[in-house]
Amino acid sequence: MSEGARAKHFGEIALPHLDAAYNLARWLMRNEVDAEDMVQDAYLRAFRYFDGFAGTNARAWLLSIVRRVCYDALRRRSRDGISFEDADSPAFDDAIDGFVSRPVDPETSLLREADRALLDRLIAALPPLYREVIVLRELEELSYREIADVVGIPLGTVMSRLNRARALLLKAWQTNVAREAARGL
Amino acid sequence: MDCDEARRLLHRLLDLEIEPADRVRLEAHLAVCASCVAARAALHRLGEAVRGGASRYRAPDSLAARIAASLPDDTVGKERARAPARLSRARSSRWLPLAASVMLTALVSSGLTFTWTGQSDESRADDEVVAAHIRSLMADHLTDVASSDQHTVRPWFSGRIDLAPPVRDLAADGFPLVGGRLDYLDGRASAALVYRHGPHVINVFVRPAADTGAMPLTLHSRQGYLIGAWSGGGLAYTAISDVGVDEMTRLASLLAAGTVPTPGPPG
Repeated sequence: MSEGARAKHFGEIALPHLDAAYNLARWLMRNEVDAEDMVQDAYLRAFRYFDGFAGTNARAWLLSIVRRVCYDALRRRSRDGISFEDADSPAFDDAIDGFVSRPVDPETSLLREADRALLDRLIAALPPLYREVIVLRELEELSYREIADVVGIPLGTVMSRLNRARALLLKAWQTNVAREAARGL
Repeated sequence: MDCDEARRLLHRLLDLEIEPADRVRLEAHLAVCASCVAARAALHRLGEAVRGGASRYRAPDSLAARIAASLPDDTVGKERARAPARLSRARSSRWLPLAASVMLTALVSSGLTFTWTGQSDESRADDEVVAAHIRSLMADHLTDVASSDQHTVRPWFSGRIDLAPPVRDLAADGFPLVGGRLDYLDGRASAALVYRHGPHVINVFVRPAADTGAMPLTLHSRQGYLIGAWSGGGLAYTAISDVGVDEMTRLASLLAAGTVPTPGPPG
């Protein structure tokens, strides 16, 4: 196949997933400029290794490359002094322990406001390893199996991460809406 | 089952990824544990709020052009770069709050074979399909009859078009029926069934087939959309969407599996 034909074939398979790729990068990098750079870099890498792609799930394959590119960039920056949170750190365990087994009031009005800005802010504040599973599951609607492939972790870890991510998000949401309620909003 | 295990399994229940045996055990626990029922309600509302309220960012059109320009042949992606921006708004505003997840099951039982045809020869027909798909998303004319009830959609077609498309709601399989529409392809009326899969809209055009033989699914892409074509039971199907190959294959197998074979060609 000529380079041009190869590029055309690649485009037909990869470009339909551009929104998914950008959405993941945008959430991981938390800004538009970086997200665009990451996706472009990821697509060029994907093109380079395209001949080695034999599967049928092009979306999961592309998202795994986007993710790797984003994490490389985040890690580089964390070495430059910007903190890069780690989901497996004890601090996050502490934040969740005690929450999971606590009863939740079903009639709580805390969850009534689906405030886009608030949700975006809270999800963006999650550590990346939790943020990405929320984005992949809730926004890209990937199956557990696909998430496992994209993130490169076993199925069991997908589930525990998703559980913790939601517990963190729920807690943050309840806290924020309660604060607003206390202010009379 | 204790509450800790129940709280873990709640996620799988809501994500439709739970094993049947676990589901039975969990439901037995929920019948006697008010606090886990409350936890399920809270998780459910959180999920709905995130899916309905959090941003799904869309790649700027310039990005496709940028990527295309950096590949060896700069013709790639130009169509997408020209695609109207209204498309994404139409898509996101019709976002269903809760869509079932894809259960990737083996396609062996469906009898469908998978063929990847890099590019179609019938490019003009493809362009028409793509145009009809885009039109349905843009012009706020996705459906003439908007209903997830197959018993509403199916009779709607009778009297309007000279064929009876098999209409089935596939919500349980992750493809809720949105409705039906009359469309025009190749200068003749075509039934369009509209399904949704998460944020994606899938148009399935149904027309009388040239012959009654069954043709297995073939897939190809056109202007960034995936087009699946197959036939059976005297009907020709053309499905188009921005879903992935797996999802398209799955929807096609579901629709093909529900097709009742015709008694046989007359003569």
